[in-house]
Amino acid sequence: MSGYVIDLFFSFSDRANRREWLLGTLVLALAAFGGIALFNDNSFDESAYANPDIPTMAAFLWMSLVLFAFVALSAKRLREAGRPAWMLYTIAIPAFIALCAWGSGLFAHPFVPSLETLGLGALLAVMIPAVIGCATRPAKQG
Amino acid sequence: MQSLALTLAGGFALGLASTLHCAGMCGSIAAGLLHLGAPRNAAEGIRLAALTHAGRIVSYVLAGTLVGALGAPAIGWLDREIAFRFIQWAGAAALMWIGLSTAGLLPPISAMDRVMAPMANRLARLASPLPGRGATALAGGLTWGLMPCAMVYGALFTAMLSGSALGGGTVMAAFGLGTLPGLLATTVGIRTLVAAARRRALRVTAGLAIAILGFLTVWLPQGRNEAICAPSANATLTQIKIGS
Repeated sequence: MSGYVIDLFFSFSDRANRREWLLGTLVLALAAFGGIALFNDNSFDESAYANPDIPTMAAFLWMSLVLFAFVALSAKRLREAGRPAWMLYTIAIPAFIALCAWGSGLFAHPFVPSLETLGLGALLAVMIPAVIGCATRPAKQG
Repeated sequence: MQSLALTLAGGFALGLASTLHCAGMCGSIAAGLLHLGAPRNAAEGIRLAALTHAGRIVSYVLAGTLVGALGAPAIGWLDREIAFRFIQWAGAAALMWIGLSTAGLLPPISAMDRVMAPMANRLARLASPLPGRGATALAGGLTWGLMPCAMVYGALFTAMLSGSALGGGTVMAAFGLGTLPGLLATTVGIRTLVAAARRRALRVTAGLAIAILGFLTVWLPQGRNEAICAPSANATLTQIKIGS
């Protein structure tokens, strides 16, 4: 069982069906929010100059791990759905940029209209087709 | 003096934590190099094994001294507060990567392999016609120390962050000593360690323990992490020779 979970979240080989992808994404989303709530606590603040807009390193490392797991899970799902390999980059690259920007404190106020918010929206828009493909497309026959 | 002791302890702990990895990856090399020397009795076997491991650790120390010397000006460039944060974060990220790649969750650091493998091959060719069992064992150890290895890269990264050539050499010497128990055990043929290293559950457990340790160095509240984070916050601040 533990081997299955490790392969599902950390291996780029093999395939994942729609149910596995949806459940895995739900688990990762919970892990992301739980991790931020737990690790992005300023009583643990070790960020440079204690800037409240910059997440703690613990939260950043945790999110990096969650992101890696999401990309690995999506790679398997896209393969099963028969989507082209480049589609994975439309998830991985914007997610990586968003992670770095968040780590730099750019997305500290995501609901306040600003250039940064627009940038975040653009990154999410790039990811949408591949994510919808993962969530909806049936397994490729044959 | 205290900071040197902490550097030694950190490097040694990293070496010890690599035991399962070393036994799995290098156990056969250790035993093979001993058989290559064809010892005639137990005493000569011990002497050859000692020379081989001494050669390996000398390679580590030379590499550590080099990266420590290169890292010192890079770290000295930064503001003291930023330098400390950078070292703490980079150390945590490196330790987590080492742990998670040992557990097989993340890919190993393979970029360094492309640099190290040709160097090791060249040294092996130079050493092949050496006369005498002792010289062969020592040269074999020196070459072995340059073999591509994810754990060595992680230790070298820690050595670079030590901020000085002496610190870098010390970290790698301690790392080499920390790897000795496991490798000596495999050299003399304790197959249990090698078998243990091949068991996925054990590798995952050992790797996750290293990764969690790395994570704790940035997550525990300041002032409480000295016990697990060597060098500690204060030691690091006094250890870095800013601008020197």
